[in-house]
Amino acid sequence: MFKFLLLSLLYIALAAAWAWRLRPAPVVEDLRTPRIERLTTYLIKVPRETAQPILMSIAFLADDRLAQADHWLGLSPMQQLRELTVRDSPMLHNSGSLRDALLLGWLGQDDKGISHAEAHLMIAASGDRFDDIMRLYAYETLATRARSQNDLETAMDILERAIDTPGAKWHLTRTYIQIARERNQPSAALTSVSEWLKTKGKNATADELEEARELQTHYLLRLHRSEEALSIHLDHLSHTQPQDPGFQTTLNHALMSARTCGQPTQVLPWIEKLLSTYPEHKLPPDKLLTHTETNPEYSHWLREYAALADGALPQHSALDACLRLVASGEPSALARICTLAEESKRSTQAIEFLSKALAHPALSPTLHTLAQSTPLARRVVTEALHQEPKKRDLHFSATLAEAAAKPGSASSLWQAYLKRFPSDTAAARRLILSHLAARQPDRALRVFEDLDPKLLTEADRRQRDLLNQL
Amino acid sequence: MIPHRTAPLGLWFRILSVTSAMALSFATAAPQIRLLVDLSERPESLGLSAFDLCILRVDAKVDLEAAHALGNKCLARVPLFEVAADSPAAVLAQKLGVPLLEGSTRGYFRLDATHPRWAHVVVHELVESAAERGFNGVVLAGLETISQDAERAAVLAVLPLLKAAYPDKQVLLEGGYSLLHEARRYLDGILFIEEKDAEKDDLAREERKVREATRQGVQPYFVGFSQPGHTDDVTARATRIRELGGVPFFTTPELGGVNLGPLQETVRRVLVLHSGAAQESYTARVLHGSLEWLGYQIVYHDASLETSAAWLPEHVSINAVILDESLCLNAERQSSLASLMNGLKHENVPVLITGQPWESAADWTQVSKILDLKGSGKSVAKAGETVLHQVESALLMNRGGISPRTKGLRDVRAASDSSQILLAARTAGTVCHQIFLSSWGGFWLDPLAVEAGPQLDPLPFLERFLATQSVAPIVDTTSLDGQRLLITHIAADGFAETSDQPGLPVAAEVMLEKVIDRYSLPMTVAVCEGDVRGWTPGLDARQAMRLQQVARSIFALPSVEAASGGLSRPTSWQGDKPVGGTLNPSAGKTPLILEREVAGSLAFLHHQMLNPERAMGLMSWPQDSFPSKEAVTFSRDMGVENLILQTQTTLAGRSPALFPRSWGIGAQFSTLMTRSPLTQGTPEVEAFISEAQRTGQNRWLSPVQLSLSFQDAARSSSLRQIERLLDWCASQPLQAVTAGHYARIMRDAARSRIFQTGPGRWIIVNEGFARTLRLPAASGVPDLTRCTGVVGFVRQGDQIYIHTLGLRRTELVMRTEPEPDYLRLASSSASVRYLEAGSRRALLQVAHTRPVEFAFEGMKPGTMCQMLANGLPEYHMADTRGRIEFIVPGQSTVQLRILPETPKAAMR
Repeated sequence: MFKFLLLSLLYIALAAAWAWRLRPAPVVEDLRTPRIERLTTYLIKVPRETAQPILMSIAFLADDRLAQADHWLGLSPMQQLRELTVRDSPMLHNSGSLRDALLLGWLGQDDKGISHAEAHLMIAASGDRFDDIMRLYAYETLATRARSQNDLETAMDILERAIDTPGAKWHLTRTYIQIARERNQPSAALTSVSEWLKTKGKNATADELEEARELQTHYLLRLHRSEEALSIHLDHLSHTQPQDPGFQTTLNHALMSARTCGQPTQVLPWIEKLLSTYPEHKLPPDKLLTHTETNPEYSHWLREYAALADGALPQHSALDACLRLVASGEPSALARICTLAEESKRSTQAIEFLSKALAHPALSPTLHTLAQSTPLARRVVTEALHQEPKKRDLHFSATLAEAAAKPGSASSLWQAYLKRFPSDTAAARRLILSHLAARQPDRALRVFEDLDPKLLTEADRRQRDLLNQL
Repeated sequence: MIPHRTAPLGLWFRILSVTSAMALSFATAAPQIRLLVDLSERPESLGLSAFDLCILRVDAKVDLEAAHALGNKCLARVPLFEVAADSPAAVLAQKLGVPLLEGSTRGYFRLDATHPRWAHVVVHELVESAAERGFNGVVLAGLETISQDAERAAVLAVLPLLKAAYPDKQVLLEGGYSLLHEARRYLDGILFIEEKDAEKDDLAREERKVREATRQGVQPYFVGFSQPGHTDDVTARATRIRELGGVPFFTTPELGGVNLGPLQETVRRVLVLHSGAAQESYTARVLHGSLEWLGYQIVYHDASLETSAAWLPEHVSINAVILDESLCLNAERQSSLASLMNGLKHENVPVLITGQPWESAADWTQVSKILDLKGSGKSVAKAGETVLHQVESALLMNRGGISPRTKGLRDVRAASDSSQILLAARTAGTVCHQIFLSSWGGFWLDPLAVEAGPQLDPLPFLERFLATQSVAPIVDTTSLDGQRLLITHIAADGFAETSDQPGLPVAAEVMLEKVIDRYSLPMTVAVCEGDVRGWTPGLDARQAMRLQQVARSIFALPSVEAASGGLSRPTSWQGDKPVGGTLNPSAGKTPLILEREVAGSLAFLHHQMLNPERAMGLMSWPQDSFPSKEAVTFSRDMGVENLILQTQTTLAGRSPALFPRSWGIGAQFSTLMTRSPLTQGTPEVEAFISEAQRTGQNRWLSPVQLSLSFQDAARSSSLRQIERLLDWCASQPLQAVTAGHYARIMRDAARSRIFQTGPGRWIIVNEGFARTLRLPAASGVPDLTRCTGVVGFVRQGDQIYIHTLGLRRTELVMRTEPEPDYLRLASSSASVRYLEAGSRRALLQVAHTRPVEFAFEGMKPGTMCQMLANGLPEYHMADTRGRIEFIVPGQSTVQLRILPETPKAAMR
């Protein structure tokens, strides 16, 4: 019985051996191609400039690594990132650039199911698995996405970490500041720009530096820290020369800060220093008046100087500054000259200067207008009239001034003027206007009738016709 | 009013007679349900406010909360059988296995109501979605398509289910008369809609149905059809339906919400037929302002365009027609216009002719025959010795003498004895009637009025011209809470100009220190983005930081409303393209396009210049650059109001006609402000004050509009003038508001709708910004106990100004004498927000930058009142006129209470 059983067992074993020997050859599936296709589809979303080398490299991936990558593709996005950043995945052991390629691919996918805040923390925790360039790219991408989803808080958190990463460029700080402004967090913006200037300012380009300093000034002023802004800019000024490229920009910021904190005298010496570099500054005001080609930069800084001097410096200094400013062709300070000259008892000098300014084409109209309201200007015009009694402009200006002072007598004043200069249509128009204001259209029409029809403009004719109808 | 209808010459007109509206009898004084059926996609939300029960589409885009706040009910019309192919109901039906049959309309399925799960779809999808949207009930529609008993049974079975599922919702049937008897226990009403081409028999049948529904205890609602031009029988039919127990509503067959009765809407609209740019037309420059004051909407129609075959746009009802001086037509259109005169005369639509558009003698003969005129109608070629023949001195615009104007003098005379000749001249033995009124309308021939001001005052003239129109409240835009408005606006021009003040500050800094901060009046300040970035030609980008700092400081002030002056100051617009705007090279390649000009500048100023909690209020278009319709619409889409600044061009020393204060309709609506130049000397200040006094002496004809610019602060002389003006304004009893607030009032007034519910009774619906109503003082005073939303009134000249709470619906009831001992607001120098209003107490709030002056009236003389301003008590005794006056801090909660009379000791 035992033998029979043993024999049966041996036969069964033999049959099994033959069955195993004669089994059909296993069908070897081609899994590599679809895996590569799937990985390619995934990685096609990497930035365009890196796409070609990445796609080339996956063609040479070993089968087992390809299988692992294929498995990785099936994970949830956050799980995928975890594998890339904080886990010691066998897929990435000695895998060359596969980790970077997968991260770039991961960043290129739709951000459904991704927590940007968590993702950036994983990338931060990845240690030396990624270099700074990759890390910065990842931060920037995540921040941009968070911002586009209006998650400004996360965007700021991510950018804050990005800015602290070595190799961070200025544009990241600028984006951070923009978001801080959108979130109305000026302090955060100021801290960021100040830190950038402190740590990276030395290696920055001139444009970046200028932009950063402007932003710093802006936020310091906005946070009512104008004195601090002024001291920073004065410190910069002390390290530069007027000829240096950034000097004027810094001086402009210092000027703004000084104005805001009410300490204009702090910047006056610097403006003087700058002005002294222009050849025009060596000319006295009456010579400058006849100087034909004044540098616009000089005029700009002279205007700023005069504006600060008028109020911060004694009146005679302010007057000097205003005289120089007017002499450069700027009419806005004429009124100040009239006031300051009387206050500083230098009317004679001012009259002498204004008499010359009366001949300046850019200043004369303002001076004539000023004569309507300012006694000193009126005196200048009157004196000029005495010297040149036949000069029509002066007569016109004097009449204008008197008519403004006595609106009730305007008609008679202009009539007197027109007796002297009957063909002056501008004066005739003034007379017409005064008649109309006095509701005397008949008289206004008579003035029109007395004028030479050839001198009438289209508007004059229209008004005459209109008056004819009334 | 003129709607469209076929005229003999192929022109469409439909005439509504306002006078017939006046003659309507208001059947009963008892409150009646006001029904509205509006099956349009976007029902006008304002229109809904006037009606107690509104039936709307279930998917109508409408704010139901606003209607609920007024206690109105809105029912959703729910088709029971037909559903859209991709609707949730179709999806649910498919899921439940309810067969979807072919619908009567493409893209629609018909649910098989005989399926047992159909009821589930109705209850849990069709009606539930209406309930979730906040409708107060449903009107079950589509019952006329029931063709089998099984469907009928299904509907009857679903009704108790609906009542059980939504016990607080009303259920109405639309049609389904055959179900009435069996369904009556579950119904809150039944809606009958008249057949579109119903005959007399059909109407009688509908009436029988109404009567039967009443008999069965189900409230019948009836929708009848009419046309805007043929509403004469509406009143009688409405009365009949009411007698039968029904609630009537008459509309057009489109069921688009057009209200034709029984609630009568007051429409004030004048059609202007002109040629060329509407804003340059004679009417716009001479008559527009007066018509606006009279409460009229002015519709400009360029009749010379080839596209305008019809004389007026479709679906627009009008009360009068003006033939503008600019009207220039071809021969065919002239003949057509001559024929139109006949139609207008017969329909009693007044016509005002401000020019003579007929060149052909035949046309003129036809017109003169229709209008009973004499003369050739031609210009008097060489007006020789011209003298005034006749003048109505009461209407004279300027005091003193008047001389005849010969320009545009025409050989026209009114032949009818009943005509009122207001201005006539005689030349070479011929009398020419220049301004007159006749039974059909009138003539106004004064071509010089644009430049030299009109000889006669257009306002009283137009009042007489439109005298046949019914008396109804006008939404006033010149005053608020009993005080005339003061609107101060500072335009962006000259922002960065160097001033002549000590320290040579820029004009903006001077304006901030000397005007905005010092006077602390609510004002609107416009800033141009190009200026504050140093991009405007002549400016230096290095100044940008300083200029932005000033702009920020200005906008940080609580009294200031921020406005954008755009980016590059375009001088004109061609559609959506700005023309003439310039920037300096610092701006780089900034595109000068509509979006950048409007949205870009608003966004820049909002983000860079404003505190986060504040918003831009206004788009202030550059002086004299009239924006295109596209630009205004785009700006409105950005959520800001539009303000257009214009310069006064009337000859010095002449009083101009009232200036237009608004332009455009709907999304193209803009508010206008007219600026008088300040920089030419002291007389301009005097002229401004004198004009402000003239327009506020008797009636308040316009608000005081102080339109300044930063340029005015650049010179000491003009700055002094501003100070004089503001000192004068501060000394006047005015309520200062920002231009944005004023623009909202203007827009709201233009959109307001007025319905007459009985003699001396009206419903006024609007957004609540325009809170003042105006009526002739002869109309009586508001009956405060019967009014809703009215808190007081004040008389000014021959007008009564009624103050409202600013609700979406105000109900005004007039009486001859004021109620005795009823506390009412007479005036306030700041905008009032009422928290509680009663006959003996009031609780209100004010928020202003200055102390606020109040005046209350209506108490018995000698009555003691307790006033608590922010908890601090004061006691005031009513004077002999029953009036008390007091001043409270700018930010106050004011409680006012009439104290009970002290018991007097009895005589023993």
